Amino acid sequence: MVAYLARRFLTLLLVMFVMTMLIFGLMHAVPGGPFDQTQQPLPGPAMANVMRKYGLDQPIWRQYLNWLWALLHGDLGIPFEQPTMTVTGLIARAWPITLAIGGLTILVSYVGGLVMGCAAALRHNTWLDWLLTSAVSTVGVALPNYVVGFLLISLFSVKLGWLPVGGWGQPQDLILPVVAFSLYPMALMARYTRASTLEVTYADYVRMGRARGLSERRLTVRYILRTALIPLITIMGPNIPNILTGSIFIEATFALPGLGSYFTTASLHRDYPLILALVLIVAVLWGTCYILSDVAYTLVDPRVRLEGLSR
Amino acid sequence: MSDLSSGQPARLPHLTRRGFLVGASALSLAACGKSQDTSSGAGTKNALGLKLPAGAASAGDQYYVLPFDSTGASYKALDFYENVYSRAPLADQFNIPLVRLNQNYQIVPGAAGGWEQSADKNSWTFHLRKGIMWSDGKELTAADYVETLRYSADPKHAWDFSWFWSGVIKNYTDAVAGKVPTSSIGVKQGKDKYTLVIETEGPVAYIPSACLYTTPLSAAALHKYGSGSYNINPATCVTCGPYTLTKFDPTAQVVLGPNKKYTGPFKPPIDTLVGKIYAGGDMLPRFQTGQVDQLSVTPLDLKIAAKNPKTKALHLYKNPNDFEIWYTFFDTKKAPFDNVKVRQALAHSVDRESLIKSLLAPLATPAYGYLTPGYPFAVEDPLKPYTNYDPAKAKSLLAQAGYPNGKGFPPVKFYWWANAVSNTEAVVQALTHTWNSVLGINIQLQQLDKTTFYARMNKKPTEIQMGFVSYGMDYFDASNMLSVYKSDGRHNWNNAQYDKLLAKGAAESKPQARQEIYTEAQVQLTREAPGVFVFHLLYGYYYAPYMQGKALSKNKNGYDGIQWPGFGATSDSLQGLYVAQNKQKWPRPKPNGIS
Repeated sequence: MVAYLARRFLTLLLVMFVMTMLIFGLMHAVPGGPFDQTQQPLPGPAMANVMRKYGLDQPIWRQYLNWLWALLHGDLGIPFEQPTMTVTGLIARAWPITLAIGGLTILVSYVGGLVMGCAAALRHNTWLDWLLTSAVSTVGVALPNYVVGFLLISLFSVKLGWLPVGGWGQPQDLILPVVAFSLYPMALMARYTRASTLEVTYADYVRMGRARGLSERRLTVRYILRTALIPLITIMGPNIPNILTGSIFIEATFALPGLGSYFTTASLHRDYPLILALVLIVAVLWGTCYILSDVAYTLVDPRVRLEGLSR
Repeated sequence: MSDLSSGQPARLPHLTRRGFLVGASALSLAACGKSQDTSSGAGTKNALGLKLPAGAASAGDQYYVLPFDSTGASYKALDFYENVYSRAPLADQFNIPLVRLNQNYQIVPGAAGGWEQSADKNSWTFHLRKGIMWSDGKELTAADYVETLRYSADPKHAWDFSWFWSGVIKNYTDAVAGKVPTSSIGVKQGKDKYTLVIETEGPVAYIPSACLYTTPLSAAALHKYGSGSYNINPATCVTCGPYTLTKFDPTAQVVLGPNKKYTGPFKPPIDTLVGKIYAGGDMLPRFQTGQVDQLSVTPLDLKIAAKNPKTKALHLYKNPNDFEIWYTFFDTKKAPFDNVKVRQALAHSVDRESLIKSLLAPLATPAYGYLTPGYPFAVEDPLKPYTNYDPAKAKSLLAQAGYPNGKGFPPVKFYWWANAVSNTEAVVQALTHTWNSVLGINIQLQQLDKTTFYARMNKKPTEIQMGFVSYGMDYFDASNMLSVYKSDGRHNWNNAQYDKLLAKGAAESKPQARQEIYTEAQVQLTREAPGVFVFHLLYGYYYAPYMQGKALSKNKNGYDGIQWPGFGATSDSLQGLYVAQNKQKWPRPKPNGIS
C-alpha cells in the first residue's frame, strides 16, 4: 500500500511539473498581459518600469525557473492585482471561506443524497420514490445553482426578510449558499444511490442471503449499501475538488469573498502567479482525491485490489 | 428491523411549521439587526462638529453604505498616486487636491485658495490655504505635493498613470524614463511653504483642470513607509481629509470613519462611509433589503424595479459620470476603411435615436460627436450634418467609394467585448444588422475577452480592423477626450491639421478662443469619421429615500445624483449629502463593524 501510494504521489508531482510548465506557456501565449487592460496604453518608458518591477522583462524560461525556485521555497509569489499581499496570504484568507461552504455542502448533499437515494430505492415504485427521484432530484439536477440562489434570495431575503441576502461574517450567512450549492450534488447523489441500490437489491447474492434467512437490516447495511457505495465513490472523486474550490456563481450570488471569484478574475487580469497557484490547488486536489478514491474502493469492497498490491 | 427495511416510511426529524417560523424569525433578527427608525438629529453636531441640517437623522445614523461590484477588478490602494486603475472603493478621501470640481462642473478652490498662470504661460502658481493639518500633526504644505509628484515619476514606483503628467510637467517624461532624477521635474515650492509652482513643457491652459488629480500623499509618511500603501492600514493611515481608515478588506468591506483631527475647510454631514464589496451577483435585492443605501442601475434593473412596489416609486437619478462614449473604430490604414467615404457611409447608416430608444433608454444619449453634452467645449449641432441618419446618403457614399449596393465590399470582422452596463451585445448586433441591411455589406461579429480585445486594439499596427469600444475622460477638459484621436494615439487615424488644432487649444488660455478651436477640431473629427460615434452612456442611480441633500439635485446641465468625480475629495458631493429621518420606513440594518 505504501509503495503504491508513494508511486502515485510521485506521478502526481511529475504531472504537476509538466502541467505548470504548460500553463505558464499558455498564459504567456494568449494576447494581453497583466498590465494591458487600460484605456490608454502606457507609454514605452512607463511600461518598461512596470515590467521591470514585476520581473516580466526577463525571458519566459527565466520567469518560469524563478517561479519554480520560489515555489520550492514555499513562496507562491505576489499577485499582480494585489501587490500588498502574497499569493499564499490571499489564498489563506479566501480559501477557508470556500472550504467552510464546501465542507458543509459536502456534508449536506452527501448525507441528504444517500438518505434520499436509499429511501427511494427501498420504496421502489411508491409515491416516496417518485417524490424523491422524479421531483426533487430532477429539479436539483436541472436547475443551475445560481438560479436556485436567486430564488432563495427572492423568497427568504427580499420577500420574507428572514435571512441575509449575502455577505460573510455571521453563521446565518451560510444557510442560503449551502442550500443552493448542495442541491445539485445532493440530487446527483440521490439518483446514483437509488440506481446502484436498486441494482444490488436484486443481485443473486442478496437474494441468496435473504433465502439463507439473513435479516433485512443486515442485508441492507452489510451487503446492499456497502456495494452500492462503490459507484458513488467514483462520482465523489471529481465532485469534491469542485466543491472545495468553490463555485464562482454561488460566491458571486451570495457575495462571499471566497476563492471561487479568483478563478475568473485571475484569468481575466492575466495575474500569472495567482493563476498558477489556483491551478496547482485544483490539480493537487484532483490528483489526491482520485488516489483516495482508489484506496476507498478497497476499504468498501475487499474484492477490489490496488494495482501492484496483488502481486 | 429498521424502518427502512421494514417497508415503513423513513422517520425524519420532525419540524413543525411553528418551529420553523420561530427559528427563521430568530435568524432573521440576528441577520438583519434592528431596522432603524432614525430619530431627529437636526441642529445637533456630528463627529466633525458640523451642525446637521433640518430633517437630518441623528449623528449616530449619519453613515452611508455604498455597493461596489469587484467583478473583474481587484483593489490595491486607496490613493491615486499609489495606483490609479486598482484603487479600492472610497479612495482619495485622505487628502485635499489643489482644486475641486463642483456639481456644475466648475473648477473651484480645494487646498489652494487661488492660482495664476505666469506671464510667459510656462508655469502655474498655486497658493495653499494655511492651517490644514495631517493627522500626524504636520501641516499640509507645498512639500507634500512636490514629494507626491516626484514619487509618481519614480521609475521604481512604476506608477500606472505616469502618462498623465508626461509631456505636461517639465522633465517629467525624462524622469519616468530614468534619464533625469525625479528632483528635476518642474514641481517646486515657491516663495514660501504655502506656494506651489508647476512648470510645464510649454503653455498648458488646462493645468487647473488637471490639478483635480493632485490628491497628495503625506511627504513625511511617504518617506517613512516608502510607498503610499501606508494608507491601506488603519494603524499607519495619515490623513488631512475628513475621514480616516477604520477597516480595509479589499474583498469584503472598506470602512472610513471621521478624522477627528480634521482642520480643513470641507466638513461633510456623514461621519462614516462604508464600501461594501461584492464579487458580482445581483445588487437590486441588496438595495431592496437595505444592505446598501445606493444602487447603480442598468436598463434591465429598471425593468425589474418598475414592477416592485417599493422601488418603482423611487426617482431615477441620471448623469454622464465620466462622460463615456461608445463608438466603432476602424483600422484607417487598410482597405476598405482607408476610404473616408466608406467611413462616412457607416456613420450615416446609424439611427442613433431609434437604437437608444429600443435598447438603452433612458440610460444613454445619442452621440453625434465624441464629447458628451455638458463636457467642456462639447458641441452638437455643428456635427449633426456628418452623423445624422440618412440611409440614401450612406448608400450614395458607399457607391462613390466603389462599392455600389455593397458589391465588392470585403467581409469584415467586427470585434467587441461584453459589457452589461452598456448593453454592448444588443448594440453591436443592432449596428451590424443595420449596416448589412442598409448598405448590403458583410460585417460579422466576433466577441473577445476584454484583455485580449485591448491588447489587439493597442498593438502597433493594430490587430483589429473594426471594433466597438468606449472611452471615459481622465481629466475635465476637451484636450483629454479629443486627444484619443491624436496622431499615433489610441487609433491609427493621423491628421496633422487636427493635431495642430489640439496643440493650439491646449495652449490657449482664453475660454472663447478655446471654444472656437475645439469646435473646429470636433467638426474635423466627425467629418473624417475615423470612428462611428454611437452613444454617450448615462449612469442611473437609486438612492434610499432617506438619502437627501443638494448633491442629489439637478445641476445646470440637467443631470442629477452624485456626479463625477463622486465621493472623492475632488468634488463637493459629500458636503451636500446627509441621512434624513427614515420616515418611509425603508429597511436599514446597521452594517457590522460601525459604531
